Amino acid sequence: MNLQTLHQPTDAVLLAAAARQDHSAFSTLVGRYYDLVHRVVWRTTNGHADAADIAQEAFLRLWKNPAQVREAKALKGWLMRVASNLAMDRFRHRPLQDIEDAGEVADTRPNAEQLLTSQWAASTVDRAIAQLPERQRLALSLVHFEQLSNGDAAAIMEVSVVALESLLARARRSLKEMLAAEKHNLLASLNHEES
Amino acid sequence: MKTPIRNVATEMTDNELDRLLTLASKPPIASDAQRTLLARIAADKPATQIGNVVNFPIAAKKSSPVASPIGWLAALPLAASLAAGIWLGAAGQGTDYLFSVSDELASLTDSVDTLTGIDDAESLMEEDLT
Repeated sequence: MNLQTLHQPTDAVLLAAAARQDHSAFSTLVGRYYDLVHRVVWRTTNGHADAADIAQEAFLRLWKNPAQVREAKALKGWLMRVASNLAMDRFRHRPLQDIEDAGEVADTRPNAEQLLTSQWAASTVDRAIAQLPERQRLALSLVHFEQLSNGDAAAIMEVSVVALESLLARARRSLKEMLAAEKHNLLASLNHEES
Repeated sequence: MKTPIRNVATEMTDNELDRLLTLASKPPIASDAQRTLLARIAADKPATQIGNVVNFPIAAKKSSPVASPIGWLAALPLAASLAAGIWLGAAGQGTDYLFSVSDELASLTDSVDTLTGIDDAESLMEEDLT
C-alpha cells in the first residue's frame, strides 16, 4: 500500500459526502468504480450499445438515494448487482445481438489468413460467450474476467456459493463444447499473438 | 447403454479454456463516459435526491400549559366538600346525616310469600282471574 492509497478517502466517507450532494465526492466514486461496472454490463449485454447507458443508470440510482447502500464496504458489490439486474431487466424480452456483429463471422468460414488474425479469434470466443444463458455469462464475467472470489460473485448475484459454482461449471462446459471445433485454430492464433 | 465416444483431439482442458478466454474482446470504455455521467448528475435537480429519512417541518414548540382560572373555580366546590366531610367525620357528627342501615332494614317489613314451585302457579292464576 503506497502513501497515495493511504490518503484516499474511503467509500464510507465518499458515500456520506455524496448523500450531502457533494458532487466532488461522487465524482471520486465514479472514477473508482465506473470502468468495473461498465465491463460487467458490457459482458452481460454482449457488448450492446446500451451498456454505457445502463452503467450510468446504476450510478444515477446511487446518486439519487445513497442510503440504499447500507454498508459502504459493500458499495462495489451493490453497484455491480444493480447494474447487472438493470441489464438483465432491459433485455429480458429482447434477444441480445452478439458482440461486434458476430453474425457475420458465423456465416463465413474463416480462411487461412483470417485464422491468424486476433479479430477472428476474439469474435469466435465472444460469440461462444454470448450464447451462454445470461446468468452463466454474468457468473463467468464476475469470476473469470473480474477476478472476484466465488463468495463475492455469489453475493452480487444473490445466490449461494454452490449455485454460483454450478453456473460457472455449466458455463465452462458449454464453452468447451462450443469452442472445441475451433480449438486448434484458436490456440494457434493465441500462440501467434504470444510469439 | 453406450458410452459416448470421447474426442480426445478436440477435448479441452480447463487450462486451455482459460487461455482461450484471454482472446475475448476487451470492453471498450468511452473516454467521455464518466464525464457524461457526471454531467447527467450535475443536471439532476437536488430535489430529486431521496433520503430514507423524510424531513418534516419542525413544529413550533408549544408553550408550557398555563392553568385556566375556570379550572380552579371548578375544583373549589370539590375541595370544599372534601374538607367538610373530613371535619364532620372528625367531629363525630357525620352519622347524623347518614341513613341508618338498621332502620332501612326494619322498614322492609312487607312479607314475601314463599313460593313453592309449580304448585303455586294454579292459585296465582286464580288470583289473577279474580
